[in-house]
Amino acid sequence: MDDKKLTDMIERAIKGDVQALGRLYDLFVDDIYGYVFYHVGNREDSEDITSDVFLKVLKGIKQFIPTQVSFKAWLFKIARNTVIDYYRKTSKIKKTVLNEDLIDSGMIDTNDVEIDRFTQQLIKNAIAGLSSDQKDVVVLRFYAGLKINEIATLLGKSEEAVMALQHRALKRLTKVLGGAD
Amino acid sequence: MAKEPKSYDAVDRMIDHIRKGMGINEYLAGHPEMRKELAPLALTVVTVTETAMPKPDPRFKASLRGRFTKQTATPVIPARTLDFRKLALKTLATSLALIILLGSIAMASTNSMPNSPLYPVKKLVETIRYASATDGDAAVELKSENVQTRLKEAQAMIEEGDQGAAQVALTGLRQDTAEIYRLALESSGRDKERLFDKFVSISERQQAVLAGLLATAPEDARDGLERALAASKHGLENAQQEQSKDKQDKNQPANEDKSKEDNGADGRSNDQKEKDQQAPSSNNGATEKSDHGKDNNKNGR
Repeated sequence: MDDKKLTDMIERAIKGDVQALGRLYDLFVDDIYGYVFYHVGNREDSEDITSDVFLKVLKGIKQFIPTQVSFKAWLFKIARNTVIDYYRKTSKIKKTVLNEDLIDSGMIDTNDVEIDRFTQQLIKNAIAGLSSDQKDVVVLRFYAGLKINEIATLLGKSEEAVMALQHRALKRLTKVLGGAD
Repeated sequence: MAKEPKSYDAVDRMIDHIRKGMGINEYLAGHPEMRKELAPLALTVVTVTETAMPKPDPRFKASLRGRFTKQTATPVIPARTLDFRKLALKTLATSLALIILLGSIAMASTNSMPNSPLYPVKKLVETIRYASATDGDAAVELKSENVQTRLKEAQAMIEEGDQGAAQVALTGLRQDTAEIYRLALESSGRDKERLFDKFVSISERQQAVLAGLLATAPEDARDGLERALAASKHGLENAQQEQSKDKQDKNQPANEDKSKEDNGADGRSNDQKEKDQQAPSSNNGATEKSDHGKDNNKNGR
C-alpha cells in the first residue's frame, strides 16, 4: 500500500471510520502479534497483549498526530509499552524460548521454501533469546521495516546506539546459526 | 574503535539493500575491504528476513478484528455533518456570548459621559435606535431625548470642570437639534406644522437651560455655551420663519379659491355685478344675496 493511501486510511480511522480501522488492523495485526510473540514466547499471552494493543489503539487514535511520528512507529510504541506492562505485572523473565508446539501446530508460517524448517526454528529461538533491546531492534527493523531513527525514537536511544544494538544482535544470531563471529 | 561505527553503518545499509530484494554479492562487491566481516552477517540478514514472523491463530485474528471494529461501531457521524454541527454550535455560542457582552456594554454605557471610554458605545446605541425609528414622530422623539441627554452631559461636564468633554456634549446638542430641524423641514402638511411646533418647544426649553448654565459657568466654559445658545436661537428663528411661511402658503390657495368663488362662474367680478345691479339687469335676488354673503365671509377672515 502506498503512503498516500495509508495516510488517507489513517485519517479516516482517526475520524472513526470503522472500515478504515478494520483495514489498518488487517495491515498490522500480524506484525504486532509477531513482535509480541518474540517477547513473551507463548500464544496465550501474545494474544492477550495483542488484544490490549489494539484496544489502546482504538482509545488513542484520536490523539495520534500523523505529522509527528509514523503510524507504524506509534503502533509499535504501544505494543512495546504493553509488553513492558506485561513484564511488570507478571515479573516474568524477559528471556523467552519459543514454544515448538506452536510451530508444529502450524500457527507459525513455515511456507518459506528457501530456509529449512530447522533453520527457521533456530532463528526464531535465537531472536527470542536476544536481549529485550536487541529483540526490539531486530523485529522492528527486519520485520516491521522501521528506520533506524524511528526505532531510536521509539526506544528512547540514539541512532548510533540502535545501530550498535543491531550489529551485536546480528553477530549473535550469526553465531547461533554457526557462522563466523 | 573507529572501525565499529563504520561497520554499523555498512551493516545498516546492507540490511536496506537486502530488504529491497537486491543481491548480497552486489553489495559486498562495493565493500571489498569489509567483505570478510560483512559476508556472514549478510547471510544472517537474508535468513532472518526470509524467516516468517510468528503469526496469530486465524480464529483469534478474526475474533479480535470483530471486537476491534465493533468497539468503534458506535454511530459515527459523517465528518462533514460533525464539522457543520460543531461550526453551527460554535457560531451560536459565539453569537450569544457576543450579544450578552454587547448588551452588557450597552447597558453600562447608558449613563456614561463624554469623557468615559464607553461614551462611543452610548452614541452608537443612540444611532442604532435612531436608524430603527419607524416614522418622523418617533425619530423626533428620539432626537428630543438625545437633546435632553446632551444638555445633562454638558451640565455635568461643566460642573466637573472638563470643558473639552462639555464641548463634545454641546457639539452633539447642536447636531441633534439640527437633525430635528431637518426632519421638520423635510416633512409636509400637518406633519410639518406639528414637527416645527415641537422643534420650537425643544429650542425654547434648550435655550432656557443653556442660559441658566451660562449664568453660572466658569469663564472657560462660556464660549462653548454661548455658541450653542446662538445656534439654538438661530435655529428657532429659522423655524419660526418656516412656520409663518407655511401659514402664508396655506392661506394663499384658500384666498385664490375664495376669489374664484367670488367671481362666480361667469368670470365677472363683484364690482362688475354691482354695476350691473345699478343698471337694468336680469339677475335675480338669490344671486345677489349669495354674493354678498360670500363677501361678508371673506371680510370676516
